[in-house]
Amino acid sequence: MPEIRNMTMNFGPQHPAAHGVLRLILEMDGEVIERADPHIGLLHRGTEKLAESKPFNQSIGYMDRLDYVSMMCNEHAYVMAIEKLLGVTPPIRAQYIRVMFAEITRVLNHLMWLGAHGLDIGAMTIFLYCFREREDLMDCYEAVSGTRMHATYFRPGGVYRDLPSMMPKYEASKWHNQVEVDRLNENRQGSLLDFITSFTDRFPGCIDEYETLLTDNRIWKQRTVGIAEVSPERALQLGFTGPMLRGSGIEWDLRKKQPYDVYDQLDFDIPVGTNGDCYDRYLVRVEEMRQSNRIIQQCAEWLKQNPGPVMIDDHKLVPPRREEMKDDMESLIHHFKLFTEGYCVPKGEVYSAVEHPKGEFGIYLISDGANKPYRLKIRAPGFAHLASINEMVKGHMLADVVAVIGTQDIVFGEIDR
Amino acid sequence: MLEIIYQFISQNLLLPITTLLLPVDYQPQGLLMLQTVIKILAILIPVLVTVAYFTYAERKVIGFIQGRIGPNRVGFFGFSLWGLGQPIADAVKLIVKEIVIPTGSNRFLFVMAPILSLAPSLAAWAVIPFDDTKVLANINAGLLYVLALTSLAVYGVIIAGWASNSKYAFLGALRSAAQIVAYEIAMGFALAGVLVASGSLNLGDIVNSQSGSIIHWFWIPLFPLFVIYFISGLAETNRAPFDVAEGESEIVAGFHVEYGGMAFSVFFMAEYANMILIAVLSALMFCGGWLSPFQGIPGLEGLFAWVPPMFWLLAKTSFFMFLFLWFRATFPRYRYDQIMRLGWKVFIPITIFWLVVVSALVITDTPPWFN
Amino acid sequence: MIEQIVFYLFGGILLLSASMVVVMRNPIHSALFLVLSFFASSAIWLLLQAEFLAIALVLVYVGAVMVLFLFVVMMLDINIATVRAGFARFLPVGITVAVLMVTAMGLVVGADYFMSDTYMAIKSVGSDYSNTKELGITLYTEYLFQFEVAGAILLVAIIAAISLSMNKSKITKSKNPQDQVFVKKQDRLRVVKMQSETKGTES
Repeated sequence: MPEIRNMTMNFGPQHPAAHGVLRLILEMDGEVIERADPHIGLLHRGTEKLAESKPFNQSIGYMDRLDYVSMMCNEHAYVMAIEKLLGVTPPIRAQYIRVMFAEITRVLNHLMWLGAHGLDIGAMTIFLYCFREREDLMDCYEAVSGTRMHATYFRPGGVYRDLPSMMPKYEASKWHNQVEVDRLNENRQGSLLDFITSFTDRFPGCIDEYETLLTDNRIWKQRTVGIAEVSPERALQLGFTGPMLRGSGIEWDLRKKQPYDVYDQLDFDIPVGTNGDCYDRYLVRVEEMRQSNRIIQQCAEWLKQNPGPVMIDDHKLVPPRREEMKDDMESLIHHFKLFTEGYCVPKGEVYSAVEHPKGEFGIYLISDGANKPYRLKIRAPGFAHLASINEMVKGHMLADVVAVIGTQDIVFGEIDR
Repeated sequence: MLEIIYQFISQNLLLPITTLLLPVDYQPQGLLMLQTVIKILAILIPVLVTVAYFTYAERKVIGFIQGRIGPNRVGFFGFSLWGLGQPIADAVKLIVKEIVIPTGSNRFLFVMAPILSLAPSLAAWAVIPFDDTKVLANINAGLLYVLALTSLAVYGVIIAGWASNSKYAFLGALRSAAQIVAYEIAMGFALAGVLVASGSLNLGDIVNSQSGSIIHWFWIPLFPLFVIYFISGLAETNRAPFDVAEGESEIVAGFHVEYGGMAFSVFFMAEYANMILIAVLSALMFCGGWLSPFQGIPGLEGLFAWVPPMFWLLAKTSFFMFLFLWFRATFPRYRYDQIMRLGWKVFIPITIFWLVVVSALVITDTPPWFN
Repeated sequence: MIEQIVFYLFGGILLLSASMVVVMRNPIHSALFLVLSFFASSAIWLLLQAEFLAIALVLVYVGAVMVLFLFVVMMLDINIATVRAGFARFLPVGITVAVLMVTAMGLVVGADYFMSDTYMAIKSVGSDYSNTKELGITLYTEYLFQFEVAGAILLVAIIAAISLSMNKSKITKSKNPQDQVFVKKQDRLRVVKMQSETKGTES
């Protein structure tokens, strides 16, 4: 009688549900997981080390590429860390813009997550519905920074430039005639803020649409309820943050507990789950999208009524205007110094954390007074979440591994850094 | 119309061939054989064309459900024609692709598996009646024949999974084998209900015993069996939400993960031919087959008398085919153990119970179905 | 004429595949040859106009039994060398048993059926004759008791097999679908109104 052995399976890194380059070694008894061993490092780019050899501003772009579905939130933490060391405060309008874009990013991230999570569990329509709305938010990114993903829009001392007064429009082509294009351009007639307002008016209806497809769907519930339950105590011990922690029923949100920028002046609530299973985390994230929508609405309203500077007026930190630079010697020197040497940051160390869509995203920065960081440490929320995958999937089945990877909202850019 | 073409071919093509080539003694048998080949072609060619355009329809329908437009570029002679050339382009692409046979695989079985999976799904069409007279083999045990052949489709899957020498393929094959055997039973009981209700195993008789009007069709007295039959059909053909055997987010592509090119597309054709088969069987057994839905309604019956009966069968089949696509776009995927639970603990008890109910209805001659 | 060709064709396939079942080294191949021999015998049954039996053979044995058989054989990594190790030692016993069985079958079936002149011709019947019906009537009237006993024995075997293979010791976190389905959103999600804590608690 041959002895019954466990089956070892290599899940990823080329697996369609591995969310990038996750490699899991699964030890299975039939289809039941006995052990899951995540292997990381396949997307390691050495961001922390690279930042040590570059002036502070030049590393902002690397932050975009950490968690590449919530770009501006990464920038936010980094920029705030530098500001703290420098002791500068950006103008209030810049803070509102940052908060608005941080929340747009949260919606972007959660839409990506919802679509991918749905697709992992087999509901493929939700994926395309989510991407439909994601497209509009990507256009906001593009309008404000020129790129759809890696924006590099937040800068120490404010934001790169003020919101544009008009939205780019579609043009007629071989595949879209003028009538179609006019329909597509309907909400693009005004400024970016008008576009965002029209989006926020429409978006709650879209969330209802997603929820109709999933929330009360029997199959969806069978696939998520009771899967990968994490008790509140374990969630704290495992270092969970963000929706993973709130899903387990712990009321913790950095936007409320350590408000940064203008979050303390905005009205929003914190969704919290009960059982800490995949279904609760799903509900929490969907509700977070609704709350983010409220924040975006409030910010857009405020920004429409309060014009003003979006950058501090200190040319040691901020490049001078282009035409000033052409006329004025001092500005030229500032420009030259800023773009070659950067600026020196006082000696010290700082930790700045934001409520990133995935959890607490922290930047720990040590400066020795030079123009480059002495050490930069990134606290990526996904890393702590991935570390718990063995505990979460043990005793569940192979199909649940996919649901758990989805519910952890893993993006390898930030885990491997 | 079809009869006239058939008679023409039979008289002007087949008869001369047989008289020229065969000795006199064998001429009748030879003619019969050639006529049967023509009939087989007359069924299979439309089926395969439908398979090709079903993939196109799937992409279009799911595209519209998802707010996309689906394929719309490939057409004929420089006209895009809503992408109607797409299936042909796909076929050409798949035919010219290399079939990679993985190392450590069983070469012979690896190549055999797709054929084993396509053959039963096409062979089952032999007993499908298209109207009162048009059927290739009018055998008494038609229903059993269909059931037997659909149960053979699993061999292609199992052998593919085993011969591929891949863990994903193997898991897919095991899942599929267990799933198909489980749903085979529920399906068998559902068909037993039809058998009890109609008192015949012949598919033509089954349709004829539903005649009367739309309420005489078996979907009313056999409603639970009808639903279960269709859902079991979804499971048998490995379609969403029961597509765990090829669930791409779990085991990549399941049993056909190692297949490419034409070998893959034969699996694909088998899957779609099976879907069409399930759709046509649902129409035949529960929805009155070629019977007009306006039968028995005074004014309308005459109004639609000119419609050929086959049209109604095709319309009903198309509706069921559409359901396959609709379900795929709407539902998340079940987990493997949940599928087994649904099959064994829900469907089989319900079908057994309803079998008793149907028997009672038949014995008591309950109008309007069983008098 | 054609019937004879078909008969000898399928008879040949049947004999060949049946012997291949024993000869093949790979158990999967053996199982697949067994499937082929079932097919061939069902074709021979069809020649005898026993379409119900022929189709039932395919449906039950090929469609269900052999699938599960293959399933098991595939999962077990059978080492052919150890299985064949005692071949020579068991050969005399095997041959004795085989000879005994053949003799017994010959005695039971008797010379009546193997003499071609007493070969029973198939009763020719009309095309509307359904042997399914005949079989059903015979089975459920004359042989009802035996049929029910066979059913009971199979049921016992199923229960025994399930209880033997039940393995409760496994750790699984599987959930009852009934409980899962009745979960409601409003019981799970709380939207907490929280006061923002003052700025400056940081640092």
